[in-house]
Amino acid sequence: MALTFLDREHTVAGPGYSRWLIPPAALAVHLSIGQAYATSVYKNALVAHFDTSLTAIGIIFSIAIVMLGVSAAILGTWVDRVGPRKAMFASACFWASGFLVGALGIGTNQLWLVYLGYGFIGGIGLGIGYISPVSTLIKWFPDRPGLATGMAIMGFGGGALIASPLSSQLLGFYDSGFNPTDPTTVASGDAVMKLFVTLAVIYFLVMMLGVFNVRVPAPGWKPPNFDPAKITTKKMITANNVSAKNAVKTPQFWLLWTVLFCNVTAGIGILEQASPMIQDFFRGGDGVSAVAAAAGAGFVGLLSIFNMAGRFVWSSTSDYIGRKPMYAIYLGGGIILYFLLATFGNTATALFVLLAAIILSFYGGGFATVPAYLRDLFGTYQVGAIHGRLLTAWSAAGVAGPLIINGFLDAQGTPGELVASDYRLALYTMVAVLAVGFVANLLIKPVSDRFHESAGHTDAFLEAHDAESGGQVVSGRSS
Amino acid sequence: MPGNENQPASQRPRLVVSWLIVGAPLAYGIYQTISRTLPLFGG
Repeated sequence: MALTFLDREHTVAGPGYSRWLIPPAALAVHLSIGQAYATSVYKNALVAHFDTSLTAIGIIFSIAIVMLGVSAAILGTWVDRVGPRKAMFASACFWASGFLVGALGIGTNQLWLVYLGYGFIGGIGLGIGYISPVSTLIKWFPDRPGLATGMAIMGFGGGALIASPLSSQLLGFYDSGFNPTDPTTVASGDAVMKLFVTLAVIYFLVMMLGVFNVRVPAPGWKPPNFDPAKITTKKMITANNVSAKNAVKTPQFWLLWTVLFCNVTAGIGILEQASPMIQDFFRGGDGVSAVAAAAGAGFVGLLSIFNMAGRFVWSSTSDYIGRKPMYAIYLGGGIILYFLLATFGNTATALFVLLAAIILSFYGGGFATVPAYLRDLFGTYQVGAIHGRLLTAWSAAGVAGPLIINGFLDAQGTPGELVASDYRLALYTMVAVLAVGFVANLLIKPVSDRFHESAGHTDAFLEAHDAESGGQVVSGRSS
Repeated sequence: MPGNENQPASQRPRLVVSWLIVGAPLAYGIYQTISRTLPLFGG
């Protein structure tokens, strides 16, 4: 069978396999699916091609993000059982197929096919891809899980940084009438269709790097000089395991769900509105902003970099200071920063940019640190599946964040005429949202013993393999 | 980082290629994005 490389015996690492091959494998997947945050590049082109509204085109992205949460929650247990290799392959197939079906929709002028392709099929690829490397990284880096998951999830932020300029240049290549540097020109539908086909091929090939490199460690493997006893003596790090089914019955899961929901809601509040927000904050009495549109776009780029860097820097920091204190900084620090932004943000552009950049780094850090927090609370047994279920908080925040900010702004006035004071109520609301998250984090305590699995349940993937091979221990190959 | 641990020499080319495949596009993306932020600082 051509796909035997996906079998379990090819997924367990042989002796001496470098664990530093796992982060690039994870990055290959996350950098590819991170394209989901670069859809604005061709949004106007699709509006013109389908002769429809921005809202109708925005639905494509909304379906994809909803499917990310739904598929991660539903398929998380399957991902833990079949292992990262098969999961990454499935993700690559869904993600690339999504682009191809989307391209067919553009080529045949059928918007529903784009919904089905990029939104529904691609969204499943997003969900599987997002969680596929997480538990594997945690198993390879038990000494530094925050660093490991930070590297991977940084890729999701970095994916947009690559896809955005790459897509602009490809659109310019496929449509000579389109100038990526001139916002008044719009690419043709034919160019977007060719872009989708190109991205399908590129992303499938890059994700295959992840598929071929990823391995799970052999049973009993641990990094050199690592003593598991040292970390499990810490109060907030368990030596036990909780199944995904039981995890959702614990208060810890729902407190952490609230923490993630509040952190993401607050971050999205700024991210959604970044470009007009900086212009509105520095609008003079004559209605003209001191910040030009080009500078507003630059501000969005700067936030993307801080969002990405925060994922790596703060998540790695959590390995040293602990997950609970790290979230206390994200949420408590966020409360102070949001308050300063609302109250003094309009006094100087540099202050505004600095405050927003740190807030966005906390937003990214919140995403990247959560898998390690889950490992600390629930163990490694089904951490991928639990992470998948927790990501529903992201989907919910994706709805709540924009609703809060847009709801307040709509009540204040017309876009393009707003000023700093019009944002205050919305930003103070985000302070309250962060305060709720801060309290939820404070309430998180170790999981009760009654939810712990018996001693044999430590690795869902190896357990599934043992069941299939009649209990024989996997020896491991590194093909 | 990758070179810090004792790895079989045969894995080094694979490590370098793997990190390059993900590192090079990421560097391109960061460079492009930083270029875009210059107007914010009057550049």
